[in-house]
Amino acid sequence: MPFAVQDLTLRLGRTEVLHGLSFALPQGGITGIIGPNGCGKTTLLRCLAGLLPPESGSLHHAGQPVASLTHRDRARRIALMPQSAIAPPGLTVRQLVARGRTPWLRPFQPMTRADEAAVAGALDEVGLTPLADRAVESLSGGQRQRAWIALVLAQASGTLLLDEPLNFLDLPHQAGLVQMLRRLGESRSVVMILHDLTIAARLCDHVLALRDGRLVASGPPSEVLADGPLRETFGIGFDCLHLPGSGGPVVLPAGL
Amino acid sequence: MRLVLMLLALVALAGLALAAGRSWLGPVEVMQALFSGPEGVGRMLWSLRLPRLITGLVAGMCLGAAGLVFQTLLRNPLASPDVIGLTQCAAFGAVAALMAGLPPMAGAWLGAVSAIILLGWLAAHPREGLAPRAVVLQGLGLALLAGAGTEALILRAGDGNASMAMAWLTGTLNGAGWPEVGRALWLVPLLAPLFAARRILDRLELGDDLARSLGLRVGVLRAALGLLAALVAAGAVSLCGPLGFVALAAGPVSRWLARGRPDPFLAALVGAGFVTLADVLARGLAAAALLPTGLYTALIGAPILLVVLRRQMSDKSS
Repeated sequence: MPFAVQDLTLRLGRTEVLHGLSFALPQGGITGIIGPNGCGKTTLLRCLAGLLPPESGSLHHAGQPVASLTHRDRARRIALMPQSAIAPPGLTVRQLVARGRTPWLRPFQPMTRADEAAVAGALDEVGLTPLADRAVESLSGGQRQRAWIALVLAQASGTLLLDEPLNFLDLPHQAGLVQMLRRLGESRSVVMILHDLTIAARLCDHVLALRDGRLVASGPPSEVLADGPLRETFGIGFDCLHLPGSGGPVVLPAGL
Repeated sequence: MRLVLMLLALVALAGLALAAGRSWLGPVEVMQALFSGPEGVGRMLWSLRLPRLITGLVAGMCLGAAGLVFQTLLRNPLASPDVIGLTQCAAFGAVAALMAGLPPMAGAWLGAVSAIILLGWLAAHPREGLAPRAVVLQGLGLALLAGAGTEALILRAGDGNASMAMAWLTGTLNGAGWPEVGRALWLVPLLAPLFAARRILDRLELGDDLARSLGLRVGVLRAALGLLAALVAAGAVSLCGPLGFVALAAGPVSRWLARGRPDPFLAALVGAGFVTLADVLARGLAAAALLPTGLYTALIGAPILLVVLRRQMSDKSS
C-alpha cells in the first residue's frame, strides 16, 4: 500500500484545509484526485509528499510514518512534480532532469555512471532523448511537461505525485501524455490531480473525490465517476455516457 | 577553465594594484619589494599597498558571494544586500559602534543580523512561508530608514568623527593596514560554507516545493545561508564601508561566466576583482583627485545594473 491515511487533518496558517481524511491507496497503478477548485487537492498532494505536516491523524507510506523518514530517505521513496516548479534560464533538458538525482548524490561528489544512466533512462521513457541538449525554455508546453516528468522519474522513487500533469496542453499532447502516464502506472504507484473526468475514468485505477477539504468518495472509477458521487463533489449533475467498446464512460456536466 | 581564467585575471589585477599608486612600480621593482620583506626597499609596498590589497580582496569576495547568495535565495537578480537594506543596516551599526568607541565589525554584524531577522518577520506569509518578493520591497524601505538613521548619527556627531564617518560611508580602502587585514581574515572561515553551498543554491532555484521534495531542508538552509551571507557582507562593510554595486553586479557577472548557474566562489572572485580594479583606478589613474574607491565601484557597477535590468525586460517580453 503506497499511502494509508487515517483521520488526517491539516492547517495552513489558521485555516483548517483538510478535515479528517481517511483512505488507503492500492499498490501500483494510477490514483486520480478530483474535485472543484480550492477543495484542497494540491494541499493533499503536498501533504502526501511530506511537505506539510498534518495537524492530527496519521500518514503512512509503505507502512512507515512519513514524518519519521529523513528528508533524503523520503526523497528516495516519494517524488513530487509541483506546479510551482521553475526552470532556471539556460538549463538544458538533460541538466534539468539530472536535478532529479539530488537525493542519490553524495555531498560534493559529481554524478556517477549509475546517475547518468538513470537520467538517460528517464529521458528515454518520456521520449525526450533527441531534445536532451536543447534549452528547457525553447521547448513547447507538452515537451516541457515531459521534461518535468522525466525529472521525477530520474529521482527513481517508487511513488510519483503529479500536480495537474495535463494542464495547459492541447488535445494531441494530452492524448500522448495520457499514453505515457499509463505506462508509468504499470511499474510504479502514481497519484495525480486531474480535471478532465473522462480522462480520469480511462486512466485511473482508483479515484479520490474531494470537496471543501473532505473526502466524498474513494474507490475504483466505476463507482466514484457516477452521477451520485460527482453531484456531491461538484454540486452539479453529470451525464456519464458509456460508449460501446471503449475503456470508461464519457463524463460531461449535465445540460452541456 | 573559466575559473582558471578568472583566477589568472585576479592575479594580474593584484599585481597591478601593487604597482599602482602615486609612484608607479615596474614589475621587477614589485617583485624585489615583495621579496625584500617589510624592511628596506619594500617598506612602502609592505606597509601600505599589500594590506590594502588583501583587505580589498577579502571585502570584494565577501560582497560578491553575499550578493549572489541573496539574489539566488530570493530568486531576484536585484536582491543583493545593498538593495534589501542589509548593507545600510550594517553601516548604521558600524557608525553607531564607531561613535560609541566599540569595534565597528561588532556593530555592523549586530545591524545586519537585526535587519535579517526583521525582514524575515516582516516578509513571512502565514500560509506560504517566506515571500521573496516581499523581502525585496520591505528591504527597500529598511534601506531608506537605515540610511536616514546613519545620516542623523553623523550630523549629530560633530566635526571630528563626522568627517571620518563620511569618507567611510562612500566606501574607501584608505587607511586599510595590517590590523584591518587581521579583521578581514576573520571573515574567511565564514565564506567557506557559502562556497560549499553551490549545489544547494542550484536546487533552490527550482522552487521551494521541488527543492524540498528532492530532500533539501529549504527553511533551515535558507535561514543559515542568509545569516552567513549577511555576516560576511556586514563584515566587508565594517572593513571598508559600503562599496556600492559590488554585491549587486558580482551575481549577474558570475552567472554569465558560469553559463547561468549560481557559483558563490566565482561570484567571490568577481567581487574581489571588481574591488581591486576600482582601487587601482582610485589610486593609479586619478591619484591626484583622491576620490574614494566606492565611487569607482559605483561607476563600473551602475552600468552593469542597467544592462541586467534591460536584459530582464527583454527576457520577459520574449
